[in-house]
Amino acid sequence: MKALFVIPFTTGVVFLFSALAVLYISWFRKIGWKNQVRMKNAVSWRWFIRSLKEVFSESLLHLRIRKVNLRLWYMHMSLATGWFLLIVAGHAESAYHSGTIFTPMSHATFLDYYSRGETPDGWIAEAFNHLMDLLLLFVLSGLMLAVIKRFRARRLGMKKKPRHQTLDRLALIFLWLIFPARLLAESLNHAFYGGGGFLSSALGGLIHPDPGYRFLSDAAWWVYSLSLGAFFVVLPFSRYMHILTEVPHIFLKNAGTRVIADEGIAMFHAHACSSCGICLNTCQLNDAGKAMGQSLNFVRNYRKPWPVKEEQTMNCLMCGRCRIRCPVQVDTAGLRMNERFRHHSGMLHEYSYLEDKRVRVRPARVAYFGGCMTRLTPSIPQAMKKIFMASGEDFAWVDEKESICCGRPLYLSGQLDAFHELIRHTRDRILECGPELIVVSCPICLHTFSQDYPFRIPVKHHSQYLLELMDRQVIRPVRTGIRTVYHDSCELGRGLGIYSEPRRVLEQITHLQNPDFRDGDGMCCGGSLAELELGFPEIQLIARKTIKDLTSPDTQQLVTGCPLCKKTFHAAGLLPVLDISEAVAAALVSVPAEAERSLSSCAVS
Amino acid sequence: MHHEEADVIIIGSGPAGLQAGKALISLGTRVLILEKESRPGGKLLKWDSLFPFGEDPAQVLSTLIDGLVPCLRTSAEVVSHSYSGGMHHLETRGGYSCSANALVLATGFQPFDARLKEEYGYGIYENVITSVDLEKMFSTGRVSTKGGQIPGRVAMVHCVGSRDLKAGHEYCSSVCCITGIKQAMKLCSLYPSVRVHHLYMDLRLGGRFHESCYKEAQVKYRIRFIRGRLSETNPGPGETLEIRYEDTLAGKPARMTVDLLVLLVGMVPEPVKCFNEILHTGADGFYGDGSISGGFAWNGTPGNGFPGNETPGKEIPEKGTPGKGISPDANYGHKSTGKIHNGDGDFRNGSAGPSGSTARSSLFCAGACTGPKNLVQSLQEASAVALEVNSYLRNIPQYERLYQDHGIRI
Amino acid sequence: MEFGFKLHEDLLVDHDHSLKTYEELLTRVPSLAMCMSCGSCTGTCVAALKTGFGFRKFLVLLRNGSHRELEQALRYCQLCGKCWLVCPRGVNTRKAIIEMKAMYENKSADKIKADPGIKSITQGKAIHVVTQTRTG
Repeated sequence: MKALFVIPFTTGVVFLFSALAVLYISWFRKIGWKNQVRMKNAVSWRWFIRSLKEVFSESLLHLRIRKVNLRLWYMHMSLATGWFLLIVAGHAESAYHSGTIFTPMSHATFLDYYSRGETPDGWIAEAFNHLMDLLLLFVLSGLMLAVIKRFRARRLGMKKKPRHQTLDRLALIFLWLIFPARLLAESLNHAFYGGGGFLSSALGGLIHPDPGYRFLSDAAWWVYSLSLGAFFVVLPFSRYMHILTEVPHIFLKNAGTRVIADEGIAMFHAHACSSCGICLNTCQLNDAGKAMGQSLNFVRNYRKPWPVKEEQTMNCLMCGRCRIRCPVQVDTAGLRMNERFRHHSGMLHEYSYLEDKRVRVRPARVAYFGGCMTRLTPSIPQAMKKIFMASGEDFAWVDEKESICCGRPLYLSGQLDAFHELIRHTRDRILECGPELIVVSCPICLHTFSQDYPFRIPVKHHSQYLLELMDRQVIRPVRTGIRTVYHDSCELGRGLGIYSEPRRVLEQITHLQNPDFRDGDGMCCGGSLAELELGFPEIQLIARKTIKDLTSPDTQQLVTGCPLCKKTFHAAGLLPVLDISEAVAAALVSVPAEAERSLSSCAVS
Repeated sequence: MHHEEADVIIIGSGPAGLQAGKALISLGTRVLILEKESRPGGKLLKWDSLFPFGEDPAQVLSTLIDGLVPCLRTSAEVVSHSYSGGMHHLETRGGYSCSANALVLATGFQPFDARLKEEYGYGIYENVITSVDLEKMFSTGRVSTKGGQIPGRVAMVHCVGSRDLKAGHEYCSSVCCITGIKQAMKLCSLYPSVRVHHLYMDLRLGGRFHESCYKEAQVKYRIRFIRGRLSETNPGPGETLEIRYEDTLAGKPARMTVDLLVLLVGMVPEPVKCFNEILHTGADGFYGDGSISGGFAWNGTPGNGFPGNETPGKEIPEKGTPGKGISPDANYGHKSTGKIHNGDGDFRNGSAGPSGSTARSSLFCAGACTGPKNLVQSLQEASAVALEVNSYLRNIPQYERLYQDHGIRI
Repeated sequence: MEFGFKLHEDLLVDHDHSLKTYEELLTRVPSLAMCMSCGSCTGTCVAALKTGFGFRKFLVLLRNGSHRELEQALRYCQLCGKCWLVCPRGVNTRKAIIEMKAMYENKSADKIKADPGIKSITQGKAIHVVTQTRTG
């Protein structure tokens, strides 16, 4: 009777690959035509090699986790790389022993069983023995850290660890069994039949079983095979799907595919998530005490066929911190938006009341759009008005008399149809004065203007515009020594990549305490309009923590580029909070007389 | 270093502090009154006239301060406090120090900083002022817009910084409604052409004869009351302001153009820093826990009925309870929430004093620092606190000896 | 003795029956109970001056059982969030609006269990379209 114990293993492998085929094919078929076009255009050697490199550096070596914590990195890396090398080296060893590369998988996996009784033939076989044992030791060291992480997550830098569901826990148990089972099986094997590498033969010698207990060796092989087989069977339904899904995910991602409104790509992203928990630690909802919507839990529920609960979907600041740190770059924001669209996209709306306004409008070169938030922080548009007048700019403050919304909060809630209807109206309003340039004070507006409208003319944040004015010496604010910390708003920083212009403005007029920035490290104020579940006290907990982390005891003022951030920080009452425009306006020594104009708005009615 | 000793030190020479001092002196106690400013009276002299009958604050002050001048120490801001050997030891900025068996805090309040309600435009638009600014204008005898004109239409906004979660103070400041009505009536009597409108959420006029002021305002001065809270101030044509709110009784969004906007700012607590460790503030930032059964609000000892703490000695949660839906009255602009210390001898600076008196049980508070109240209530509370202090002093053994030495019958 | 006069149901509020849906909504958005009808929300609303509706009115309509009018009025909301920012009691206005819309339109997966009669309220086009009578 040939090795019957191989059956669980083989069954598991067959099941796994069938399940993968079924799933991957069904996801591929769901990919929308836009992404299909992108994929077709992206196919090239460069793309292929780049993706292959990323598979090695991220799926195996997990280099992104190295930036988070070294021990955590070693754990993930050793398990992934170790297991991969075990398989590759095992297959090479199997090919060496049988003289052909076409050996069944079971031969490579259970090679020590098949080669029992054979004396090692030359130094290569001997070297293979030791190599396999070394790799097994490598994996076991990572496994030990994984066990520690389960019970003492703080030792690996994880303040918050994931709470796994039943099926994941089951898969975890099987996974943890595999390598110790292999070690046991090989050790017993070598104890009875001799041979083996430094580790397994030494362990075998240590156990020193009585020759009458030979059946123990077969039993150990059964255990090894069963744990492998069980793991493979459970894998497609657990978080360990990421092991294999990461590969197509990386290739698709590098082809420029987008998650939004594409269920096929979304499935690849969602299943590439390993539930590692790094996102849980960067998420600022921890400070608010209301964190059921955090990415790990959300993505896990996204994988399921039924909709994610409303509360969980809407409990997210959409700040982007999790996406930056995700080792596999799962587009959490895209998945979140997909789910929100699923819940709310067809909601009814009636915006015809925005239609029939007909006013004569004075033409202007620059259209300044304050945004609806600036009505609650009037210091910002007043400061911009002062600066515009000082610079003699031909500007029109398009929403001076009436408030109109850019529509992004509507978009973020998932009401896609309503959003498209609303932006039609807002676009018409802004373009009425025939501008060449649009300047906005609110990064939320800027984000949607740049991505969703879009306008054919340039749209700038006021910090960028102010920097230009200062570079051209049109305005000359004086330098004060006020110790200032600049806060990167999520929409301005991570959302649009505008980090340096505000800092260059502030460096010239204040003593800036944080002139350097690490792309993506900014902290959220907590006041996000994408979040629907937090109340004011919880938002203030986030805001206060952010202020404490950003400022030092001698900081005199906090400067930000977003009216909503300003309002949120202001309410914390910890230190003065200014917008960039206010800081510049305050530093303007005098307003030239010829810039005093009585006509500053474009509506004549 | 100048050092003095007394039986009681009163911190603050506003109405409550002076009244407490007066009452204590009449009971034979040695009193010292410390005032951080250079002149006594607290906020009293900031009023041009007092409600409900328009009395002169200077006269009230002179009545209160009569006989107290020898006890008064001005420009004496308390910067440190310690307790040892049954005595409180205080040091002021400037090097003066004093000690006493009991302390009365009558430190009053600060007006809400209206710049925190940025959408109202204070500090941004020229013709937005607060009730404090308006009262100052009354003292000069002339009220005008920034351009020097007499205002044609004035709007007065109630509840600025009060009953407002976002401003950090959820309590009602108790006196702003009557203040606004009195100021409106004064304005109308100064300038008969002025039209005044009040934007209110609720009218809280529980004081004596306050309701008749309201009636008089409506009938005699034709002051209009609109039920709706101010949402935004925008610049209007010229120097005017356009205010936006809802006329809730009409059920319609509304706007009005005004020449002058007056913000009725509330009272905010101003705890003395060096007492933060031993004197607890309620969740609203004022001294005392506000309960009846647990002891009076003017005594810093935690009571049985202290809300939110089943066992005394437990730390007050800092900012409501996050994540539990509706939050209790929490204060966000307010920085200090003192911890409760319990019982005898665990106050860190010193051991228990004679017969179990502790730092806590010999600390008393009176006046606006225990919660917003009007002048009459402050004076009443101060008198009651004085009695409490007196009975505390009489129970200290060393005092028994002192009284006996001096032949004073207890 | 009854006189037999015809009662205009829509001209009076029947608090015996109208509060059920409101109570359901309260379980999802408990902060609604804190509304003190100050009207700050309406005063700051981007759509209010153009449509006559604001968040406070939504709650009034809900409590009074005027579901048809409420469903129409909810369509005007741009979800900008200004009402949520100015509310002095911290009512979670935006969440309440989305929950109400989901209830009327049967959109959300875990929607509020409301009166059976409500499901039939949403019909295609709006019944009142607000037009401006003056510019500016």
